[in-house]
Amino acid sequence: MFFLMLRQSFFRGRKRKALATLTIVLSASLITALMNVSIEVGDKMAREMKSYGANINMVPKSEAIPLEIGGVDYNPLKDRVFLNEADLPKVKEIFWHNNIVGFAPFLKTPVELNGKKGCSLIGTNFDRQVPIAGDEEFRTGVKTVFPYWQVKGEWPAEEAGTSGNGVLAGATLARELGVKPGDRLTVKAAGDAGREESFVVTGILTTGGAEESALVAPLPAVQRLAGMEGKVQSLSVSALTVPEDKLSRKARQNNEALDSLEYDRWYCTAYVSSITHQIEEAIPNVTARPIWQVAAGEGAVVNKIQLLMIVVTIAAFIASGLGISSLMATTIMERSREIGLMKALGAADWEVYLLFLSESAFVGVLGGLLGCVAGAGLSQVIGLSIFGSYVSFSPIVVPVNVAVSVLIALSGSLMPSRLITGLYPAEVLHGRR
Amino acid sequence: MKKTVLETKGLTKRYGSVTPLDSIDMQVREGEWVAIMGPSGSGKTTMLNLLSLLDSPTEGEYILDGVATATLAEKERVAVRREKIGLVFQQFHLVSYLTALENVMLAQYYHSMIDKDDAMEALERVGLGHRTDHLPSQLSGGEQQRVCIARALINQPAIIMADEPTGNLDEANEGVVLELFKELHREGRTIIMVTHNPELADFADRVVRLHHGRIEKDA
Amino acid sequence: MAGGKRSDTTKNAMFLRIITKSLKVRKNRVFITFFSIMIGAAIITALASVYFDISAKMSRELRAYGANFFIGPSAASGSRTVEAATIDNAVEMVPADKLTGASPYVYGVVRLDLGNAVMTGVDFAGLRRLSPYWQVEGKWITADFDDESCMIGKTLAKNMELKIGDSVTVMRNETGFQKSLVVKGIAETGQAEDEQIFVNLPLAQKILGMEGKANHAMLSIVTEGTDIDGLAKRMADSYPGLDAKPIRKVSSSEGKILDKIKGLMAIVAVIILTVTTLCVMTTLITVVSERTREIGLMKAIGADDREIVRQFIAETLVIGFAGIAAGLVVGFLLAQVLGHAVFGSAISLRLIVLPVTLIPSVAAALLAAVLPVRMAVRVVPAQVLKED
Repeated sequence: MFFLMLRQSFFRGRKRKALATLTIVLSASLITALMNVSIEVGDKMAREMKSYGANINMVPKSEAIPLEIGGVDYNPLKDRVFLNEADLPKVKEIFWHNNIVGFAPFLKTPVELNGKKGCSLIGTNFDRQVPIAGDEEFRTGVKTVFPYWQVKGEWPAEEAGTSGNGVLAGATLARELGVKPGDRLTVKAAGDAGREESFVVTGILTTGGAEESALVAPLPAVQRLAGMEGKVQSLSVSALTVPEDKLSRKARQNNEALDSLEYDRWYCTAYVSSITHQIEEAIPNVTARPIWQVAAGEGAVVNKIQLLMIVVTIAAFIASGLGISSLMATTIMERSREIGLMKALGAADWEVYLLFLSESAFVGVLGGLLGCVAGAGLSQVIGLSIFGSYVSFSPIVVPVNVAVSVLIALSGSLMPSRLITGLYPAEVLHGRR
Repeated sequence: MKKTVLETKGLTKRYGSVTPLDSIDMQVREGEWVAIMGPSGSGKTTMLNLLSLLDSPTEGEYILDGVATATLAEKERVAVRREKIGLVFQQFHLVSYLTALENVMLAQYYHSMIDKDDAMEALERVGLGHRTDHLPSQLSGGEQQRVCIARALINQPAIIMADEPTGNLDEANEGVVLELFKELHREGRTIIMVTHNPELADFADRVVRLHHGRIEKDA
Repeated sequence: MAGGKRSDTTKNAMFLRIITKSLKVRKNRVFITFFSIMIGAAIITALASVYFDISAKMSRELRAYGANFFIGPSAASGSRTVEAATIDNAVEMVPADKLTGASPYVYGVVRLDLGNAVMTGVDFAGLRRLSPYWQVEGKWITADFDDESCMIGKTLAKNMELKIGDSVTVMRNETGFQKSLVVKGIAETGQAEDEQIFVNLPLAQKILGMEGKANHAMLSIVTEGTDIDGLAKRMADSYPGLDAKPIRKVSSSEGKILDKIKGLMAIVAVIILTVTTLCVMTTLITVVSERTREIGLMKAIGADDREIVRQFIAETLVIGFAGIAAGLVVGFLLAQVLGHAVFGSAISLRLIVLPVTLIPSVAAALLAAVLPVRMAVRVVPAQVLKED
């Protein structure tokens, strides 16, 4: 009988129920979308933050201290240690290999340029395909790692073309020497027995850094010129990381102080410190250091945005909760006459509650589920229009959403139901209320 | 002979295959008190709804006080109803948030102009001079019905139409309402009343009996 | 009866009376309508306020990335140094409320106990605001007259076997200057700073024999609302010996990130605005639909459609404006809560928020009132009145 009544009362006021369900669907979809986006916004923004450049610098383990001021090395004779170029792809094979967005090797050598001494030639990859197990298509280089590098003209090719090797001239150097794209430069390695090679300037490079007063050429050409085949000096790595927290700070202070549980958690979290640790494990005799300007700045900003989204989600949550509650309240008040009738026919208060609350719960579940579907779509709209990529759907959102929708619908119904069941049937039936 | 205020020719109402009212031909003269009777489902209320312009017929002609209403637009129908008809319902139908006086004044407001004294007088006439500031929920059923009658009278309509005006009332209140209708009849008002109650019908000049949507007897 | 004029005033009085009564007696419904409009307006106000302030707020947050502006000697001057006073004057050109931090730098090679290192003289107070990303063990140098202490880069500290609290002797061959300093803090940045030793600017100038000079200065400037390229040009024009330029790495990335954040916030705000508006509408529709019978009755006693619509619009407007006014206040307070929770600072009140809140709220309220009333007036009164 109860179910008959429930069904009847549900279908009788179909229009009203549809309106209530629609509202819950709208609110639930809003909450679903915001929750999804809040969960993902950290990762998404971290990827956007890659425009600030590499956040890890990898160098050989060395005792020597460079004495470099403004790109001029005051200690050029110190013992040099190098990284093996062949080791570099291992960076992409660590535990967090998916978080390695790209890397760019650097080899810097002093050269004479058209007879002018004391210039620097930097070798690097611009956009090279690197063979990695499991990812044949992985391309990386400064274009990926330093998206803010600006080239007026063309980027040079990775390999020497018919007109010889291409080279980028730093903006400051180009101004000093009056070089423009298309010019041919003769570069001679420093020292009396230095080799000589000819380059074509393909573009002028602006970076806002020391590269502006140097030449930047493809790595193999520089290695050949310097007589250091297969060697690089440093590797700039761009990795997706999560902001630093207490655990990672503790790990940084003293790795040994972590208990095994903490260590596992630290190791399996994409902190910049655990990624550098894994790089050092993967490649012998290197030091990988976070570039704190990028790593810490990113952490601060991503944390803020995440917090912003969470706070906005909570605000929207409360608002739609109150909205649904007031809607449920009106739908119940509207039916005060019906409640009076039920009571007049001998229904106990709890029976009246049960009918109305199960109706609300049903509306809540239905609305919550539909809302999840609509919200999943809505979060894709946000993801695609802002980040140009899909937002993954977090399953946790579904139960949370349905539970919350039901709770809100119930709490919205409880108050007016109480009010009305408290009345005498006669008062309600005769509209004396 | 007094003039005809209301005339129908072949008045019919259909809802799909159901025909609650079928080819009604009827004339009502000024000052006549007509009772419409018949078993449930015989089309009494449908007929009154058509006569009071609350609903429009599927077929047929209906001339009210010289106006052919079949071709009127909704807006004009409202105007005609406002001018010529006073309505009394079985379920009273008062605006719940207005007092007795304000409910009467509401009819004045929609009709033309407000005159509080007139409204007071109308309420006094139905014996509610002391309850003018009460909300409908604070009035008894009989009192609510009397407010309805006062409201129906306030604009001096040509015809008063009532749908089971005593249907929801106890005997005492029924008596009071009946007295009011008798008095209106004595004043020479035209009254059309749907009722189940033979006692009420006894006071009518004429009883129209409906059966299955047709006039069974008109005397 | 009464003359035309008097009847007009009494008609208006009656209209007002109907409205007031309807609002006064139907307290529960009026409250719910008011409440849901208020909630809707509040959330829209709060989000709009946050949205219009987000660039300014995030622009400050992005200063976590450190210096985005460089002042140094111009290439034409041929010198590697500039007068520190000139730099100070140039820094003055940046509006005070936009300048997050600034510090001059002076460099030179010095001899420590175990080898050579680059010494950097800075203004520590400025540097700290300039480079919040420095990971410092121990303490920052706080007093700018402190000429007994130094901070040291992490790699250098390791190589020179120095710990916090150790003393290190600094010597400059060219000037013959020698002084013992206490290591107050060890800094890590992952960049060149890791191999340098930092002291107060005046001390470095004395040690390096560069009194009154600086190599360059780094500035951190809030870019939102600042024409940073114009600033660079004005600075270079005013001080011909100076080269002033934004640091591309930071300043260009900042624009991109700000656009993303603004876009994110905009779409989130628009979605919340739409959904909230729809929610308010459904609630209002429910409240008005409930009165179908009343509408039927009004028609039965002679009200024409216009009259009824007029009454409902008037009622909705009264509740609506009250709700929106309350919503603006609540929403602004909510924005402050959001601002303090996320940015730790107040959200400024902007006039643009007013129309952004008013227009959708009023439109939603009116539409929500007119739609069901229009539907109700079209229904034949007989049907409505018969339903019980």
